Amino acid sequence: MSEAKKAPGGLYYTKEHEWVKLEGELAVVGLTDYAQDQLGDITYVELPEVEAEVEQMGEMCVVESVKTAADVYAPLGGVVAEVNSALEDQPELLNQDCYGAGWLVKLKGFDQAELDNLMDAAAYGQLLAEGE
Amino acid sequence: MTAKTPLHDWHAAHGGKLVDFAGWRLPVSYGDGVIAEHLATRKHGGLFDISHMGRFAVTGPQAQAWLASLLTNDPAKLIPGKAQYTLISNQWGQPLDDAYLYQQAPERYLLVVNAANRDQDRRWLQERLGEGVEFVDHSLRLAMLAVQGPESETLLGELLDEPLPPAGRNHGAFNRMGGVEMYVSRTGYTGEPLSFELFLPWEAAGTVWERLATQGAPLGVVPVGLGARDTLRLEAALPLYGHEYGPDRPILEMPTARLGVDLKPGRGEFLGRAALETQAASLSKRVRAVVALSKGMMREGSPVLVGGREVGAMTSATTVPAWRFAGEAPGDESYVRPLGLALLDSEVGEGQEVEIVYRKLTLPGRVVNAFTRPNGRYLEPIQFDGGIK
Repeated sequence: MSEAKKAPGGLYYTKEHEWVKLEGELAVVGLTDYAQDQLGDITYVELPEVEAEVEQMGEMCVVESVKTAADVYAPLGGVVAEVNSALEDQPELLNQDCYGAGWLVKLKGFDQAELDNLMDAAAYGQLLAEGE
Repeated sequence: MTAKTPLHDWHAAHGGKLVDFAGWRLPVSYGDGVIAEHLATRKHGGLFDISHMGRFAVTGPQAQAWLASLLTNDPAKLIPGKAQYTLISNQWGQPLDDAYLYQQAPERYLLVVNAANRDQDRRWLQERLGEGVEFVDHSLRLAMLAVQGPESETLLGELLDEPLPPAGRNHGAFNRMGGVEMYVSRTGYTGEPLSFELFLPWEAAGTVWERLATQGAPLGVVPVGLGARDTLRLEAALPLYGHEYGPDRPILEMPTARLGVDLKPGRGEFLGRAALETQAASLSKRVRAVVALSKGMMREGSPVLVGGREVGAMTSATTVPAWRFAGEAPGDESYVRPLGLALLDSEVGEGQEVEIVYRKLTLPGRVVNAFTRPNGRYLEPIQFDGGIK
């Protein structure tokens, strides 16, 4: 798989394998390609309530695969503005298109300074390379 | 050191996600993933490399009597070409392992045990070896493949040189495929009404597997890894050692153990008999099938409650896919449902509504008799009232 597919540029990454994309006032959050591949077939996503408050690297939701269940952490502190309710019926979107249709949550009211705690694509790609 | 089956390189070359399992390097799944492999097995068929299982040859004039003294089922019920489910019990009625015993010819048996227990089982049996019995561990000389599902009969019918073993579970016979001698048995670990296991020389496994995969592909038959092997056995409510069976737990807690334990008066003495008779009369806990009635998660260890009171815990549980049937056959749509097996207080019976606790959430569920039923050549998922549609 190409490096761009593993870790597209223009996104921020956590070491727990979440990604963030800034869209104006919102931060779109999802799981990286590495994370979905490690989890295997995703069968259920437990999404947070809209308007729930999350802290940076606090538990945000749970993703279950046939193999295991994994906590997903909020890459940024903030308030849940929107959740991807399509995942309730089609959790497999997370496997199929983790950087697109398989996004998890959109956060609002986050602190730009917290972005400094995240990695860019090059640093995240390096992290993956070291793990291999 | 991790052992490799004769198909290791094939798995690696065909997208198998390889992991270490019970001392063996085996695929969890191939490219399409666990769910696709599970569904393909139920609708068309699946190929399984199960060469990691332990295989012991037991031969000689005293083979039957010796097996009868150490196994819970009665080998005297077998005839050449039949197999039976059985357990290896200690004197306290606790399982050393569960196993399958195949009588291949007069005075010739094959005992198949779990990969993780193979060394322990071999020691246990060899320490108790008697006169007139020859015991050989054939695990690294004899490969084992499974062909499971609705198209399995068609596929093997096309490839085998001799007619298939007679219809009906546990029937087996010697056969050949392109000159490769093998033993073919109507057995398996998926619950499929049509299912086969092949025992063949280690060095011939690659050729045979390749033929099965190539000829099976147009029928929709696919290679299946350990992940779907587990969801298939769970959907069929079949036990797994280390989950439903454990070294310190009574054998008869698992209801299907009764198929592998013969306590009839004429059966005679065997190791563990007295303890198993006590278990048959009374047990405080039993393994039951539990299905969730809404979407959610449950896992091994999840507490099971009735009216807020804990009555046990899941021993195996995950999300399992199923086909929506269109008439008598699987249709084009599938869904997933959380289900599993649980060790529950004996008074909790079929139909009981329960709650399953996982992390911070509680999932409504029900104790059921089975998750599936045979429907002709298919294994059909049972839909439960209030269940996930």
